This record gives sequence, C-alpha cells and structure tokens, in this order.
Amino acid sequence: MPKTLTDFNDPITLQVMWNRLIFIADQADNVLGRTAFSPIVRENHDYVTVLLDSRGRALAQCTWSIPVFITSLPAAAQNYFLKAYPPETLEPGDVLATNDPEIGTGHLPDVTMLTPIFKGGKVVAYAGSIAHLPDVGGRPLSPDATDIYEEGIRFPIIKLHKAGVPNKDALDIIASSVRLPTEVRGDLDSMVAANNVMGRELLRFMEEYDLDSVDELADSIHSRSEMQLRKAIKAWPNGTYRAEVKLDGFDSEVVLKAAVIVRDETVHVDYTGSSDQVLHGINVRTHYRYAHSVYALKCLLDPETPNNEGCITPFTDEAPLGSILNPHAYAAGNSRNLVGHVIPSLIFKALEGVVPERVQGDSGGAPIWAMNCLGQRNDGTQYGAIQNFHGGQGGRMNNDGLDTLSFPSNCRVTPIEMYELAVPVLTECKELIADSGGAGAFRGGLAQRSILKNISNNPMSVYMATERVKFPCFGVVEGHSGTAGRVFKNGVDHFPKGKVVLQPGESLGFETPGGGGWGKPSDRTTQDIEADLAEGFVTLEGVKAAYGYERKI
Amino acid sequence: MAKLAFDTGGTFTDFALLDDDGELHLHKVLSTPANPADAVAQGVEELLALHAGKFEIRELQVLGATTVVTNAVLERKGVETAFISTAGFQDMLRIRNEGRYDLYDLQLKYPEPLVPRRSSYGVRERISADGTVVTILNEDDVREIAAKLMDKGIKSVAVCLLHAYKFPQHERRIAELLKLCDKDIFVSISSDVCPEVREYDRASTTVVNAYTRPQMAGHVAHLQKDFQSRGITRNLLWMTSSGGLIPSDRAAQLPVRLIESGPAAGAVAAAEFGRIAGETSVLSFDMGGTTAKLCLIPNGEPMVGTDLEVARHQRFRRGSGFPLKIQSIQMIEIGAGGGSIAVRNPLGLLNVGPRSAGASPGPAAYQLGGTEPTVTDADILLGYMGVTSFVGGSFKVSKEAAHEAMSKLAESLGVSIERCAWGIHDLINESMSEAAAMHASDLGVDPRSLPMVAFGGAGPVHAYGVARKLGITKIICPVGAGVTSAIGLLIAPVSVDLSASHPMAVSRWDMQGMKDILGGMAANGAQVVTEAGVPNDQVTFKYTVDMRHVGQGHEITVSLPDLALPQDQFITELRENFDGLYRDLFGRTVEESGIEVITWRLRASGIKDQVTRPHTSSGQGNALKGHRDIYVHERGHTVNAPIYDHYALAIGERIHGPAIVEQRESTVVVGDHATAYVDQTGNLIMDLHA
Repeated sequence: MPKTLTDFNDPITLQVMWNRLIFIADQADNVLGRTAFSPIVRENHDYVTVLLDSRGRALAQCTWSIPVFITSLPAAAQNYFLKAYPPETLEPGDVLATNDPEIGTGHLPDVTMLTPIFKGGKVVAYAGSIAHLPDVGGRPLSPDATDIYEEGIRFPIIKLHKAGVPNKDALDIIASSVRLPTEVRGDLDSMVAANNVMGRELLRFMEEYDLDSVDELADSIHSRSEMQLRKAIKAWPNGTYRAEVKLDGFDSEVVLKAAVIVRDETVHVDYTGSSDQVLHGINVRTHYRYAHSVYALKCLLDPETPNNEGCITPFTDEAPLGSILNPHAYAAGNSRNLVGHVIPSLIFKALEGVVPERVQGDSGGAPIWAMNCLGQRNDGTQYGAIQNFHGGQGGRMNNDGLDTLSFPSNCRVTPIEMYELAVPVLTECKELIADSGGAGAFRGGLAQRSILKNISNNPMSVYMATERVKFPCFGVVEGHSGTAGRVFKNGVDHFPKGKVVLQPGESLGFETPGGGGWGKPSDRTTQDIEADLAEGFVTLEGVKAAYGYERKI
Repeated sequence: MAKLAFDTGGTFTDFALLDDDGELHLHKVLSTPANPADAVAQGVEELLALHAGKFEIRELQVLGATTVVTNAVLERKGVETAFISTAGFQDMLRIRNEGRYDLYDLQLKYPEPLVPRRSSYGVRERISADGTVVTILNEDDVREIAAKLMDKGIKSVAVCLLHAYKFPQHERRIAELLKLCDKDIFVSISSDVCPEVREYDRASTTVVNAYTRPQMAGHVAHLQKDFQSRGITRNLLWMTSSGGLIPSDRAAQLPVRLIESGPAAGAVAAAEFGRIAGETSVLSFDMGGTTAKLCLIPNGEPMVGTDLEVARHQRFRRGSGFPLKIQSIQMIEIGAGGGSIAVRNPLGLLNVGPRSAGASPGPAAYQLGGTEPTVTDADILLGYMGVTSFVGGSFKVSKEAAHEAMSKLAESLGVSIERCAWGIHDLINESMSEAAAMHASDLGVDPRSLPMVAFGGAGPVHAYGVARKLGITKIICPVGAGVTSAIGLLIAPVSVDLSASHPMAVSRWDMQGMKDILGGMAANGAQVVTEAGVPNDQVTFKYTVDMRHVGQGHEITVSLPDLALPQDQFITELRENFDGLYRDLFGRTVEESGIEVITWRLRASGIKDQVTRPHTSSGQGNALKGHRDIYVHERGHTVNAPIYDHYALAIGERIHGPAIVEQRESTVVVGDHATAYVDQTGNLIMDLHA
C-alpha cells in the first residue's frame, strides 16, 4: 500500500526534516567524541559522522567537523564500499571498515567506517564515520616514511562486524600490529557505537514520518543545495583563474599550481603543472585533494547551507597520475596534510580577482604543525602523544585574521596541563609573536612561539610535521606575506621535519607561520595600526617597515 | 522562619514571600537595569507594606537570584581587569583552544577577551604536572606588575598559573603581594575560583570572576545596607548556578558562580512542582522571550556538571564563548523564545531564530517597532495567545500587525499565512525538542519517560507541541508560571560546591591520600554552610569524582562509595559505579582498561525547604471565559475552542482539547490529543494520548 505522501518540497516540512537529520549526525558525534581514547580524536575533534542515503550520497553531517572528512566519506562510499559490498551482500549488524588511504582520507591512521541501515529487509541508508586512530604501527605519525608499507598496517574494506558479531580475527591482527591496542580497540568501538546511534535515530525518524526510503528526501535536499550553489557560481564570470604556491616540501621544494576554471554553473580545478610525487610522506591522494578543492569553493560560494552531496556535485578537479596531488599507489602519505592543507589558500589566491571581498589570506594553520613525542618514562612505561600548533589566520576583508587558528582543518589543541600529564615535557612558553601577521589593510593573524623541554631521564623522540619555514604564507588582494615558521633545538635552527631526538634537558622550539594580509598595507588605517601597537601585536619597528608608520609626538 | 525571594530578570524583578503561616505571596515589578538594586528595594518595600504583621522581620531570610553577573559579561560592563599567568603563557586568553566554531565561515569572530593583551602579564615561576616547583616565584616581577596596575588604576586582577590546581602557593603569594601594594585591589586566583586542570578553561573562569567581582561586591553591599535599614538582620543568601544558596560574602568573592542564578532557581522550582505532583523525575521546560531552557531532573534533583559557556557569538554557537568551569545545573539553553524571528533563507526554506526581536523592538504584534514576524506573532495568529488577555490584559497587542508581518514572509515562501504561522510554531518546537533530546542523550536519559514541567511566558503555549515531538505524555503547568524562579529560591538549600584536581589511578589507589583531600574540602565546606545559618547537625556531604578510562579525555561524574569501607570493597564499588554510569551513558563498557580519578568534588548542604501552595481553585464562578478560533494541526483547520480561566477551574474538572487555559502571565494550549485538569495544589495537569 502506498504511504501517505510527504511533500519534500514544502519549505517548512523540508526544513524540519533536514534539521533532524543534522541532529542525528550530531548525536552520533557526541557519542564518538566522549568515548574515544585517542587524544587526537577527543581533544582535537579529529573525526566526523555523516549520514548517507542508500546510494552513498551525503545527507547530513555533524555540525562540528573536519572539512576534508566530509567529502571523503561519500566518495569512499560511492567509489569503493558500495562496489565491494553491494546491498545484497550485507545483513543487519554488519559493519564495514578500512584504513586504505586510497579509499579514505589519504593516510593510514584514519579509519573509514560504514554501517548499513536496514528497514523492512532493505538497506535504506548508511551511517558513516571517520576517526584518527592513536596508532597504526609502522613509523610514528610523521612525514619520514618513504613508502606506504613503512607507514603501518593497512586493511582493505572488511566486515569488522558480521551480523552484529565482531570479527575477532581481524581485530586481533589489528591489535597485534599497533602500539596502543587497547586504545585502538576502544576507538573502533566508539565508531561502531556512533554509527549505531545514527541507525537507531534514523529509523525512529522514518517511522515518525512514515517513510520507507530517504532517497526522495535526499533528492530534495541535494537539488535545493545544488541549485543554490549553481546560482552562486553563475554570478562569477566565466574564465580560467590561476595561482601557484611554493612550499618547503620534505627535502626538496614543492610547487602547487591550480587553474580554477569557472564555466557557467560549474567549477573545475586543474592541478596540472604541480610537482611530481615525492619520496617522503607528503603525497596527497585524490579524495583528500578533492575534499580540499570542494571545501575552499563552498566557503567562497555558500558558507551557510549545511553540507551535503548537493554542495559537492557542481565541482570537479584533476591532477595527472604521478603528481604529488595524485600519486601512485605505493607512495607514502602519512603527513599528506602538509601539502593538502594549502589547497584552499591556493584556490583563494586564484580567485582573488573574482571575489576579493570573500577570499582570505593564506593561513599559518595551513598546514597544522604536529609534534609527536614518544619515549619511555623514568619508570619504564611507554608514552606517546601528539601536540598541535597553529599559526595565524589570513586577513579577511574588514577583519584581521584571527591569531593561532586551525584552518582549513579544525583541530582544537590539547591543553598544556593535560599534555604535560601525559608526556614528560615542560612547555617553556606558548605565546603570540608580535609582527608575525602579514601586513595588509587587514593584516594576518599572529603566529605562536612554543618550546618543549624533555624532563624525563631518557631520550625522547619527536616526530615533526611542519611547513612554511622557507616560504611564508602569502597575502591576497595585494596583502603581504606573514613571517615564516622556524624550528630550533636548544636555541639553534634545526631541520624542521621528521624525527629529532631530545636528550634529557634538551628543548625543541617552534615558531608557526603568521597569516598573510588582505589588501594593500597602505590602506590600513592609522587607528588600526595604533590599536595594534597598544596591544603589542606589532612593534614600532615592525609597523615602520610594514606600513611606513611613524609615531606622532 | 519567613523567607522573601527576589529574582532580578531582564524585564521584570519577581518576588515570592513565604510568611510565618507558610502562606505564599507573589509580586512583580519592572526591573531597573541601571541599578538593579532599585527594583529589589521597591519590590521589598511594597511586599513588606502589603504583608506586614504576617512574619517577624528580624527573622526574615532574604534570598536573591540575579542577572547582574551575566549581564556584566554580555554587555561588557564589568571593571577594567588585568590577567597574570606564568611567564610565557600570558597570551592564553587570545590563543584559546585554536579550534573554529564554524567550519565554512571565513569571517568568523570571537568575543574579544575580557582582558586586553596590554593588561596581561607573565611572572617568572613554574610548577610541573606533578605539583613540584620547577622555578620559584620571582616576587620582583609581581611587585613590578603591582606598580603598573596602580599606574593604570586597575582594581581587579585574575591570576592563573600553570598547574596551580595542584600547587596554589604561588598564586596565593601573588595575591598577598598585590594587596601589600594596593589594599583595595580585588585579586581572583584560579586555585580558589576553579581549582581544576585545563589551563584555558580555568583562566577563562577566573577572568570572568575578576571582571564582575567589584560590581557584584558593590551590589551585595548596597542591598545588605538597604535591608538592614528595614530591620532585616539575617545575612542575605544568593542562588548559585548549581541550585544552592551561598552567603553574601562568598557571592561577592565568587560572582562567577552566580552566572546562571535565575535559570538554576527555575530548575529547582520545577523539581519541586514535579514532586508535589507526585513525580520524581521531570523535564523542566522554561521558555521566555529570547531563550528556552530545558533541564532534565532525574530523581528529584537537577544534575550538576561543569560544561558552561558565556557570551557566545550570536549567543548560541557552541564553542564561540568564554568557557566556564563551574558547577552548574546541567541544562541546555537555546535561542528559541517568543521573540525569535522567522525568515526565508537563501534556499527558500523557513528559518526561525536564533536572532531575536527581544523586548525591543519586540514581536510585530507589540507595535513597538518590530516588523519581522516572530514566534509570538505566529502564536497570536494561530489563536494560541489571546490579544485581550496578554499579561492580564495590561499589555496591548495587535493581531493585525502580526498578520501584516506574517503575510510578507508567507508570500515569499509561497504558502498561506496559516501554514506559515504553523510552520514557525512547529519549527521552533522542533528546535526545542531536538535540544531536549540532545541534552537527554548527554545524560543518558530517555526523555519520553518523563513528565514535563512547563513555565515561563511562552512555555505553556509550546509545551503540548514539544511534548508531542518527544513522546512525552504528561505536562505539569504550575500556577504563577511567571515567578517560578523566585519560588525556587524559597525551596533551595544552602549549599557550597568545592572541587580539586588530583589525578589518582585506581590501580595505584591511595586511601589515605583520598581522605586527606576530602577531609580538607569537608572542613572548608562545613564552615561556609554553617556560617550561612545551617546548624552543624544538618550539614550533609555529597562526594563525587570525575573519572575516566586512563587515556580518555572526557570524564564522567561518579558517586563515591562510603568512605569508611575497606579499600578492596571501596575500589570494587567505585569501579561498579563507574561502569554502571558509563554503560548508561554510552551503551557499553570498555574492558581491560584502567580507570582514574581526575577531579574530586564535594557538595556540602543544608536541607531543602517546602512551600505550601495556595488552593485558589475553588470552582465557584464560571471558568469558561469564552471561545476563539485556534489552529488544530491534527485536523488541518481551525476550531472554535473554549477558553478557561486557570484560577477558576474546580479541582479535578476535566477539559478536553482543543482548548485554551489562561493564566495572568501565560497561556496553556491544551492540544487536540490531550485532556487537562487542575490538581489539589492548583497545578494544571495535561495528559496526552495517541
């Protein structure tokens, strides 16, 4: 018997239902974050929960999330999961999971998990989540490795649970391949629980509205969102807009080139001309690259519509095989964010002439700086935890960049006191660096300086992931660059990437990059310059050099 | 002992007086934001005059709830404040946690820290994570800062040193040194205000305290003096965010504890209304002009926790405000109120709130300059709120103005005016029910099993719709829904919350160490409570701990077993308590993983009071006031429904929905699938059926 028809195009019904779907993803987010072990998951919120329709298209995502995961998840579902395990091969209680970088987010620590949601014996939707495991064996998280096999265990798409029963063999293999088996198992369980919450709540929702399928609802959400985006793109003049950026790379410079091609209601980004893939773990796989392309464009075109598949479809991108943005299968990519995080800034730069009022200067949080400290405590027990550091956000029209901000990712940092409880370091400072924000009508946000000292009686291995030490963050719309980053051991400049060993009492210092400025420095108001001086965001010498400002007597 | 409670709110200051015969008298005067004490004085004077002779004034206990602290932060009207931290960490307030509260908004903004960078200082000192001194305090640094503060005329300082929750001596010495230089300076130290691990949260809490302290101290002193001049001798008590009363001197020292004073009092009252209606667990639903507060009350006691934020961007974006690590009643507050504005979003869909027309310009129907349709306008057009009986008829509203505002929006959406108004009503109900469900999942409770206590100006109007969405089957609408918080003050016990972060793994349990920590807290707590007039033998202690699996980042609050148990049994029970709660909250336990305590908590309290409620519903006179058209969604059209006067209904008289029951300050919508009656205590009880 046909069900009572719900009009998904009714502006009120659709909004009510859509809100609920987002809420369902948020409920799952809550469960995942509060039970996770991995510090990077729980303190930094390095995970996402997404609800997908029966075709693997994104319906709704949790409100607080990391942009790249969001696009990666439906791509993984459509391009891999649904092909490997079509609905007829699934039964209630199955949980699919993989950490293959090609399928998921481009590095092994991220597990992508998909749980089919059954109603009336049919798969009506999927609950998806991605989370960053505290360890996957191999080299501790860093750009050091030279191929994927060195980076840790890799499992293809497997049934992690089969009909509700955990796959003991698989879980045992994973547990025996990682340094923190209890924590890894705990985090995998949290993901399973989060997906179950989405399943349970979606079924409740479908019963309440008497729905047999959410595909039609998905079509409504997608088409409305897509129309909105296409309309926004249409307001941009057709053309090809180019930019390029030079990065430090691991041991050789890397160039990223983008041609942003706006044609009618679509945008295509071509990365041809970017550097070839490199030996070390900073290669960016397709899904990760595409996610950043899409993220940047959505920020510029339609920051308000809650993200879903319709916000993705008008965009395409490409990079030739063998490029650092489309490497061969064996390439190392553990720290792929060191290159991938710069993509949004690159796209903003390319479009600075099209939407100067919307773009933001390059950000010192692109990429995140991560310090992974490992070793043995005085009592012989093992420790290991990552601390993140961010530079300043790029300037925006009418607003200076915010200081020390995670962009384009969205990672909170571990409180110093919590980090010092977990790892035998003494943080000697964590403070803003005056004059680090790039000059502009609206300057870049400030970077930070921090120093970690090994206070154990044993050597400490620190794995560093950094960028923008040689080449600083650029400005847009004639804004100037921020200051470059810096790494120093016992006060002396040090090679900024990979492993460094700190003997007891030795220290490692970091200065993150400052954000790039927005607009001509000569357009900065005297009032803003003087307010900066009063707050110590700039020095007198700094503003003299950047703005030609002289204090009036 | 007679009690007089006042609750200073944004628009009104509410009063409740409990006389020597246990009779309750309610009162309301307009608030005086420029000096909130004026409205309090006026109301007290009027109440005392009206009811003189019904109590002994020398014995009268005055109790207060206030928005003074919250408003000082929201409106940035606190005093100029300085911040002192460990050298190298003085930028803590600006660095925050480095995350973003909005993913796609490149123009995102945070409230400026309450202390500018030019007034943030570092002193050379350092304490390590295990609480030992790495660098001794450089007292010259402190003296230098003191001199600068004198120069700048700064009178309030927040001090937050790294790991001071474990070793407070450096902070205390800084306070001493600052006071030696300027005896009138207010110094708030983090180890007093919030002795808990996580430096930014602790600093943020301490700064809010310092920022509001001189103002609150002045307010307290002013009122004490005023009351004394009226012959009131008892020390004034204040409601904290955790639902307990504290003495004035403590309120003046720790004003940050009062930040959710009024809402906490409302939750305490809701618990009491639930109790007298025979319910131990309820969902409290308080909807006013700009926000709605939802609070789960399991087993008669609101739950207390430490997740709070103030001054959020646009008021409601999670993660955009100043975090506060204080004990507060766990409730969820969202931007959903009568003044919430409805708009068409860029996708052509209807959005409601969180932007609010507030009291000014107000809903279009108020004709005070508001032209955008609000929730109140929708409620008026749907017939849920009457135009002639608004606040007892003392306030004029225009249905035509509401209609005009609504018609523009309806046209842009391509729907009828009625559909548009219903959409607004329904969407805001959806937001509130989602908030309630999220709050419930946070606490591991199924909201469907709970009756709802609905109050606040708009609460009883929306209670039916919200309850339907949640699957709730019973609603309790108290009499005097407009002064509920003041009634809560009469009931609340004197109590003080103390905490201390001393991580202790269960595998390395130190029974004596635990007893030392808790013993110190108990002595301190007993002192505060007895000073507020609670006899020694009535003081009770409740011990809880924030625990987690070793390696996790979020703690859950677990009850401590009997301290007198032998260690083995104590540990077994503690582990059971932890596993049980963990399973309730997250649906599973984690095997093979150690557990640890991060923070110890103590609540020392006096006893709760009870309030005898007036039995006004005698049933004589005609409760049926008339009829008006109201929209009934279940039927898809309007129905000419009866209107009743809440106070004239006979006890037990059944009303079948759809119907309207009016109070002076609020209106109860009795939906199509509901019946309602007044119980022995005067509350309106609504039963929902399928």
